[in-house]
Amino acid sequence: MRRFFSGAGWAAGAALVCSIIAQPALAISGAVNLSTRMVVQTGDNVLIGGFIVYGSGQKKIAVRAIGPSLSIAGKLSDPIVELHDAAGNIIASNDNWRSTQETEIINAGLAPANDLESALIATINTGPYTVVVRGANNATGIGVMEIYDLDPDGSPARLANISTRGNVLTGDNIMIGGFIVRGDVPKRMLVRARGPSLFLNGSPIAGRLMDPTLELRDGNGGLIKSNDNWRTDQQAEIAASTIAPTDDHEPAVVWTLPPGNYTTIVRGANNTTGIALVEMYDLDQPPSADGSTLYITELRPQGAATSQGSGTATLRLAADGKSAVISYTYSNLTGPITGMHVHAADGTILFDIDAATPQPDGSLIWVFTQVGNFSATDILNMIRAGQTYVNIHTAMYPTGEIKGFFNLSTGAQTAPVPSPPPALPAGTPTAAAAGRFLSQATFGATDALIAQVQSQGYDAFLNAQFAAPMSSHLAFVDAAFAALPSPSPSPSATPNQPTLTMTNDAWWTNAIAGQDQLRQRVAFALSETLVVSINSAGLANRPFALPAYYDVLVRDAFANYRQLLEDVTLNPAMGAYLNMLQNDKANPSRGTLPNENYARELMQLFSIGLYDLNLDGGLTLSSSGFPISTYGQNEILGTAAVLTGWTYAQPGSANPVFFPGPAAQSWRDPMINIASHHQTDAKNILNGVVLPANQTAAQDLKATLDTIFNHPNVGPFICRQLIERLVTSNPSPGYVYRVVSVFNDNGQGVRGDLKAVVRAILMDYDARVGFPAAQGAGHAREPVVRVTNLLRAFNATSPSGKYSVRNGYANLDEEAMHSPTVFNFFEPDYSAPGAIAAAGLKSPEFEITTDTTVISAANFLRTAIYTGLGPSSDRITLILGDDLTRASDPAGLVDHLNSLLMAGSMSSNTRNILINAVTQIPSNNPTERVRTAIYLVVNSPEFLVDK
Amino acid sequence: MTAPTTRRTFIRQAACAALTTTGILNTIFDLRRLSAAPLDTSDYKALVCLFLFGGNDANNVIVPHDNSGYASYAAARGILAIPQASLLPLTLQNGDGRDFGFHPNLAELQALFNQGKLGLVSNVGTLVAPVTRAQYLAGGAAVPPQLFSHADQSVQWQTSVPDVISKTGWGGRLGDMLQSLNAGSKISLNISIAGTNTFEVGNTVLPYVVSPTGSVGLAGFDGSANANVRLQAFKDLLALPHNNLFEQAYADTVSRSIAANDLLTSALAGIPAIQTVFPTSSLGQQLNMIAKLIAARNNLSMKRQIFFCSVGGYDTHGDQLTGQGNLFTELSQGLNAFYNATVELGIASQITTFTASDFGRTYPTNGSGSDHGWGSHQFVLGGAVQGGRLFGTFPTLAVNGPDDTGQGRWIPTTSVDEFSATLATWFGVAASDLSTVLPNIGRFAHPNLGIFG
Repeated sequence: MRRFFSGAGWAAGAALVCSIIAQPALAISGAVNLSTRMVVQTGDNVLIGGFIVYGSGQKKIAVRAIGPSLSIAGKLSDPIVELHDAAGNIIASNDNWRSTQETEIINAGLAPANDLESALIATINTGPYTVVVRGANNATGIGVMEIYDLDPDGSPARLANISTRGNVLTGDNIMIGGFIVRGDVPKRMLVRARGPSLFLNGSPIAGRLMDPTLELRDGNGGLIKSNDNWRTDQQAEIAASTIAPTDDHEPAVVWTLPPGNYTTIVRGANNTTGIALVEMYDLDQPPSADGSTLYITELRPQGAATSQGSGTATLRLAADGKSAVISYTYSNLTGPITGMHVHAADGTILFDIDAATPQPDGSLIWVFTQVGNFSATDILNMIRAGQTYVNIHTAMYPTGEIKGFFNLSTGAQTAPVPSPPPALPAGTPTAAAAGRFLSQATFGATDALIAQVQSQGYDAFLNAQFAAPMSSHLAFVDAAFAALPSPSPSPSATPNQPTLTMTNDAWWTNAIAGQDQLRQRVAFALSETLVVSINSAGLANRPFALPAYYDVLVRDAFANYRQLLEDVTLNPAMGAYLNMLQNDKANPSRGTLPNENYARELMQLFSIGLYDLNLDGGLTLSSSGFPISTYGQNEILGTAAVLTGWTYAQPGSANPVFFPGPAAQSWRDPMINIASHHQTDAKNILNGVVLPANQTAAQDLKATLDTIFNHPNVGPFICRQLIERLVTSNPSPGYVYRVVSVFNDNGQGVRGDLKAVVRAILMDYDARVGFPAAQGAGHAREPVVRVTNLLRAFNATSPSGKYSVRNGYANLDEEAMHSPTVFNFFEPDYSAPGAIAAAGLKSPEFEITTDTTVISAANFLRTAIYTGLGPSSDRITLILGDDLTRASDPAGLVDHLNSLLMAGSMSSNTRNILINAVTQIPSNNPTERVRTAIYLVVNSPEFLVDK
Repeated sequence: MTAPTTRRTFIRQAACAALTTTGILNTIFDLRRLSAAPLDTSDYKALVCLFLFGGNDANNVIVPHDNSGYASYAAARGILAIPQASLLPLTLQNGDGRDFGFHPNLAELQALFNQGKLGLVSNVGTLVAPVTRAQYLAGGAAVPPQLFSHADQSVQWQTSVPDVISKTGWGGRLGDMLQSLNAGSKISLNISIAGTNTFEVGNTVLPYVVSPTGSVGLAGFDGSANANVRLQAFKDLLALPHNNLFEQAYADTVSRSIAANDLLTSALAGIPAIQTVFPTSSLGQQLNMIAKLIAARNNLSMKRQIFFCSVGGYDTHGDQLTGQGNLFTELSQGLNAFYNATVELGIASQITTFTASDFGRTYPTNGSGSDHGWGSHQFVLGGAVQGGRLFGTFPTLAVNGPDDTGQGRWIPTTSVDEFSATLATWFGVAASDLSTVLPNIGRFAHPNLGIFG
């Protein structure tokens, strides 16, 4: 490659740097080789370029940062260039080009003119990358960044969708981007500049340029097109590209460009300044390995359909434009599929998907042929213009339940904004609606609570619950411990010990009898994500540790998630469970590194999960159609180093140590840090953030938790699980979207407000009305919730007033703080094999609904009804009350149980079987009649599913 | 009561676009190729999969015993190094001059190894395709997604297709292929003593879950008139059709469980008691139940059976010496009792037990334990095993050595596919049908590791 300068003659006095290819021209053109000149400052105002490698295989690239050899005033004296991958990890960097790859750079013909200029050559995989140019020692000045494709013809991978971000000033200090169109065929490009739409992790970037303008100029500096606001000129064309700017003040230009050199100039309107991003898109889409082009769509409820259904479909257009391969998934439709087609925008069916024979992997091949008035070429053009859609028909929605238009896959999938749901019914709730609400918001309805909700309404109930004082689990255990006879009656006179039974008793008692029902229910839901368990060598013998941890969840259930993350992180029981407690800095002489366990689970399980998510909980897909990892092993290593030096609080000790003796250890207070055990080097954490060396542990922790908390995944990842635990295993994407929007901003600009999130979850249409008749409606009641439902419904009592349920885990496969591993009793995405999986439904609770547990749970519930749970000295007895009177009227009895336990959802078939059974029990045995009816209800399939 | 259940994530990233160009959306439709007749249909065979959840640090299962090998081991492992004098010497039948010993708590397994009934598969792990250290470090090679994540690696071990979402496990696909041999049986070919799992899920075969004490029967029905009314009503409720798929699945599970319990109870009652004494540990109890089910195979009309059991707690980030030591005692005593029971039943050469685990662990210590690794060693036990041997290729135990990713996580030299294929072949799958059970087997060089000769 040769390079040359062209001194341009236009007012900006810009120097354009570009390259010329010496190889023969190609039939397929590709836009390659970006360069951008602008002022390089520091911090957020360095020069940041981006590009995406499409297709498959690898690409060899070079990046350069030029400064001293520029013939302008104010140039950057010593540039540094860094190449970052999608996760923000630095793959390669260079300060002075001769230091590492001197020979290779010379051989590529890219040797910079000045030794202080930077260059690097790298072979990289497909995916997005950024290039950062900064000045050494935080120097500033005008610099140029260049990206070269070193084997444009030798690899099926293509460099495209290039962009540059930096600070746009005035005069000479505006942003000038350059690119080259190669080959001998014109290329259709879209160029746009962003300012107002620049957000990072849900927050706008400070100092962004609020009204950018754009000029597209040719190699001689002649103006091709300029634009200030994209709608003024080529609105239709820009919109059809599917990558129109999201803000009306942002400019865009679409043009078909013959091969040659081009520049894009970004200025602020009226000499305004700020950070902007200029992007160049190849609208002809670079080919993948087989030359195909990927189109993708999210399927969502169409027209008047009220459905939780959703799906994804891809269309891979063959290189010759004559056929396509279609794949799809779907979930949570109201019933089996009755038809599935690809349509033209006017509704004409172009391809009947379910009449086609699937390939072994389930995909379908569509060879384009004349359909009605549409020729094969028409079909090709409609696909390319985003004017074909898929829809899926069901019996309930014969005109189509879910639908979506195929759009070019740009690697920037965002969730479709959901249509607003229907309005909630007016007036105060019916008994059935109240019962349904209570099954979501408490550990079980009672007749009294149903009446209360009916009269006061949902909002008043919620407000009262938010204000109700919290029931502390630790206080319960402390009281139980204090009540032990002292001195201990044991013959060996050992000191009293708290027991795990006390911890279990605390949980059951608060769940069954606590007045703060919603808080306890939400805390339990949180405990199934932020897991700590007795099944840990460090905690089985620490009965105070667990209720102290659980109280963190109870206390923060209505607080901010950022606070909750911090309180959980610093809790000693969590520290013991996942090895952050006494996690020491690296010791090179012993060859030890900090423990990675909490670092990994903090991200994988407690905040962001493994893959980028959209606002509606769906996966964000790369341009190749694959999920995007949120972090890699490097981030784990860096975060593990952050989480070092923490140990037990030692209240009352003036000189805390890293390894205190048992008497000094506190299991109640947050962990403290011993600075000498904290790792002090710089650390790479999430999102490419690099924590500087020599920060305190508290500073490192704050920065790390802030970075994690502000990752856009936290809302979808956490909210979806809360919805699963409270309402339904398969929320509609719209439901998730609405709740996540509240997580991201509670209406007062606060992110992570759990109280607002809980209210949004419970008051959404999908929760209050929902889709009870759908085949995937609701969720299975968790085993412990079935037990609390039963005991609460019948105002169960015990002599002591405590609910010492005992053996819950052995019989139910579930009990608070007994999870077998940090992954809870069941995984959020578990899908039971068979019809449930085939319908694309998740069914987490079914992971513990086995041949064994359904019977042992039935037997446990029988004991609760007939004998009473708990030890013989403190039996928990149901109060059958008025039902004993109702027993003489089997239909009345069954109807009351329907209202009390099933919110009126019992089918007539079930009702008949129950009435018939009760009638056969002699009428002089009302207790047996009532017990029979209760047993049958709580073990019935219809009760199992809360919908 | 139940050991840790399997973990699944919804979507996995294909690490190398070149290998799968159709993207992620082929989940609903799994491999539907039908089976040909299996090789050997005359007798009974059972496979027992023992999953060690958490990631077993097998670097302390088998340790270099010669002075120089040991010295290098001790230097690298720091506080995790087992004292040389404690190691239990092994007699290798395919020795290459190297000298190894087992962890001191594996005495029973040492005896079985030296008697030729137990073998070790070296450095086996999940692979999308063979990969070298150079390729791994260069960053372009296809490797299983989410290496070092428990949930993902456990599932990939069970499906044996790391690069594709699969809702079936290779044990399930194996069951699909051979279930015709159990024609007439009303119990699934695949039985789990450790809860739900992916390994045993097939396209038609699903695991039947029982507890270590057997299947559980409905209690509280004493044959009185009232109890009979309640029982009949319960069964009537379960027989109703449901539009809601969760209700239907629950009803099906309960109905099936009631029927199977009757069958299993009478089958187990009809067999002579097993004399071998099993340990009271969780593993001991699970293996005891498996032995009983095997003893009842004829009553259950079984010619082929696959069992799944598990132990958790192998995730030894901290306190490893104590924690792993206890686990190894349980493992050694449990497997020994099980082998003895198969001898007692006269079918030791027809039962093969093998271990699996999420991954191995880092060779250097983190100060108290070790962190997540990749390749690890697994046991294979049974009368048909050519024991006393190391199968596959033993890794070079050196940080930044040729088998290291860096930080002492070994790149597997044998894939889960090759390990599984060897077991499947023994179980009765023809070579030409292996790719139905193990779709990726064609990428690897050794579909038969020689475990069974």
